[in-house]
Amino acid sequence: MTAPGRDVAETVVEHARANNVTHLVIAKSRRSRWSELLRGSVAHSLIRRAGDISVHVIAANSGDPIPPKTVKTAPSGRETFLWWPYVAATGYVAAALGVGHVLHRVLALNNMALVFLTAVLASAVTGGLAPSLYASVVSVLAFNYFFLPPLYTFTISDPENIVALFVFAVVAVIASNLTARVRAQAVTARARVKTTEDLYLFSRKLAGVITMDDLLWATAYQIAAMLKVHVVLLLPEGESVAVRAGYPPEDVIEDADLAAAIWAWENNRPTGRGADTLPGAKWLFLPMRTGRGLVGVVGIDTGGAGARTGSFLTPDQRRLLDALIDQAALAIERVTLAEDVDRAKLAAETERLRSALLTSISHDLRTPLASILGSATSLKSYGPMLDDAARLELTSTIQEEAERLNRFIANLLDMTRLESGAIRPRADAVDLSEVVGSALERVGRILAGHRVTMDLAADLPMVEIDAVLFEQALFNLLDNAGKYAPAGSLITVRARAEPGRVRVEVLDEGDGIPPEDVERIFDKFYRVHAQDRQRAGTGLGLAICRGFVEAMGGTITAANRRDRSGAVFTLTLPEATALPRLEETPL
Amino acid sequence: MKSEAAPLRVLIVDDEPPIRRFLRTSLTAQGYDIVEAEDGVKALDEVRRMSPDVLVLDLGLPGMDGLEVIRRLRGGGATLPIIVLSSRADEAGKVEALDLGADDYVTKPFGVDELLARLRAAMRHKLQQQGERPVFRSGALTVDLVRRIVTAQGAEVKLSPREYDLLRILVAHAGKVLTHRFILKEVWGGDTDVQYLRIYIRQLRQKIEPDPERPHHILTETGVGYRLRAPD
Repeated sequence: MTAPGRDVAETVVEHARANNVTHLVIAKSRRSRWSELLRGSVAHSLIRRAGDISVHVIAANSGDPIPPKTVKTAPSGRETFLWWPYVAATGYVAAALGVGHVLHRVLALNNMALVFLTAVLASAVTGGLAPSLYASVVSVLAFNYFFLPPLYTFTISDPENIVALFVFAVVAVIASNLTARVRAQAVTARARVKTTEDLYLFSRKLAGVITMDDLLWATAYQIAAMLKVHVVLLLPEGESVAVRAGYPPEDVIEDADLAAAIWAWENNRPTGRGADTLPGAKWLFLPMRTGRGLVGVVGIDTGGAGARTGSFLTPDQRRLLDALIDQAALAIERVTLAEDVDRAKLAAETERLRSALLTSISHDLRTPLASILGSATSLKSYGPMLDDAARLELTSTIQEEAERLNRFIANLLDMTRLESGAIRPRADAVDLSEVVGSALERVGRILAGHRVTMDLAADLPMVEIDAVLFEQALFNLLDNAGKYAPAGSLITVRARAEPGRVRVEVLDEGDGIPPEDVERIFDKFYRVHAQDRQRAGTGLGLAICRGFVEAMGGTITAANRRDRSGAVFTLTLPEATALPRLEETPL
Repeated sequence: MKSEAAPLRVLIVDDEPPIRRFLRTSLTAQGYDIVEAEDGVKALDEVRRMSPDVLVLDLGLPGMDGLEVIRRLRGGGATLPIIVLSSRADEAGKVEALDLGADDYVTKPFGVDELLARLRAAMRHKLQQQGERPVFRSGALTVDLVRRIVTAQGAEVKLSPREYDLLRILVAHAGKVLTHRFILKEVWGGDTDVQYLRIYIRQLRQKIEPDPERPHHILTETGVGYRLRAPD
């Protein structure tokens, strides 16, 4: 606990009452009696104000195994000697001397006490207690030397002046003391404001972090930077905890420290150095808690050798650390919850895909089977009664539906091969027009109701592809175009040479792809909402298409045509390294 | 059919009874004499016992598979045409069967028309082995193998020696699929990059096809090889 108030004892007692404390244990400080006279004793004040709270005073002992938590009213940093406040104090006194000299000459004033007092107060405000005491001494000397007769000696002739000088000295010291305390409180307040700002910035930063790794890194860095310590963060892994982040990042903790961390996790209590449990450990481990429970453990170490002596963390630092840990714990919990939600979403998505697969399979298998079975039983039972046209109709239905079934099963097989990684493209130099030709040949009956043109540049180089996979990819694209473009419309296969590759486009004259679907059109089981006139797709054709094209080092994208309505699928295929031409003379 | 008197005997080897039933029914109706076997060992027995004129062989047989049957038959000197029934996505199996000495393939599932066309092409080749017909005619394409003159769409076509060799091999096996490796061996005499074959096929198509981008005569069997369309 830190007492920010003006009076330590008063604050301690208030805090004690607020927390229903019945016993207070305090260490008697080893300050001098002078200090006690000047500033009063915290212990005495406490005892006077404690009322019904029992106060136990123990002697401070440097051999304590647990470092005493010293009470500080001023921020750290006082340990180092700063010389500039003394220079400033000297300056103030010199200025007072100058002003006094002018006043003496012009107004013939003799009592310069107030002028020097101003310099003392100024020193107290800017430099604190010690510089102002120093200013008091210098002022007394200067006052005496320059203004009290006999002038320019340190002797005083008039006893009245001796009294005046003594009173001045007393007033200066008291004023210094009071002013310095005000200043110290102001400095503490400023530091607190800075800390609060840092904490606020930290919480803002954490709020923006999405991934756990970023969050842990930011937390470790922040704690390390604000407290000048080494930090490790441990998060649950299985039943126990494991180090997930640290600052400096290369820090490792030893097995004994890890055991302390695990104890802290399992018992939800601070463990290790400076704590009640395992105080011999090098690190201090603190549980990170939220309202829901434990989220992890943070480990703190001051690093350097000999750090085991003296206070480990000041109460100020400890308070700051608690605040940082609280914020980090909340953020960790938030990210963990978000990750849980993501996992749940993923599971739901997987489940959705699975049920889409089942729906798709049962629908896409049953529909053609129903037609085939119906037609076949009709032929068997009523064949002789049917005329030739009806029989042809039924047999055509059987054939077409069986072919559709075959395509669907081929797609399922291809998808399975793709997903299991069984597709191993055997790329070699292929004449594109040849593969386009055979794809068109195969798709012929499906696109019987459409017009199909090939627009292949004459200078096309050979492409480095697996002809079988590419033919299937192209087949699927043409099949898709046939589904979404109206009968009688034109489907174009266009190919152009580009540096190092060949661009192939399949253009149709349908309604195009709804803008919101362009990105998802290659997704498995995704179908653009089908109109009645359109044949149902399996939702696999384009996914396979992309899988095949990418497996052999090509790319495929979907877009809408700019020149008119319709979709355009663009593929790029790597150019094959050309072999040297074989020279020959004609027959 | 060349000889009406003695029906051609076809041995059908497939482990699936519905496939055998459908083939028996359809081929019998076309005037073929049918023998059946459901596995590789029985197939070899039936070849010895019944001396079929042509073998229709499923590659995916239980026990001894179709490839092994081909290997043993060709190893034993049997010359009867073999038509392989293969599954889709098994280009490697098809090519291996052809390299082992199978004459052609049909991919399951298939229409009976396709199988009959392969049967006819295989038989034609067998019947022609006594002596090549001097002039090949298919649609607007004529190849005079004696005078080495090629005409397409009524005009004589100038071919390079290599292009002519290529066309001659295709004509000699009209209707049959020829693997890349087979053509490279016959025309180039060995290890040549398949890219050259593709370049020559393209050039040949430019010269003899009415629409080179949609070839009528030289058909591409993607992943396997080429096939010259047989005369109707």
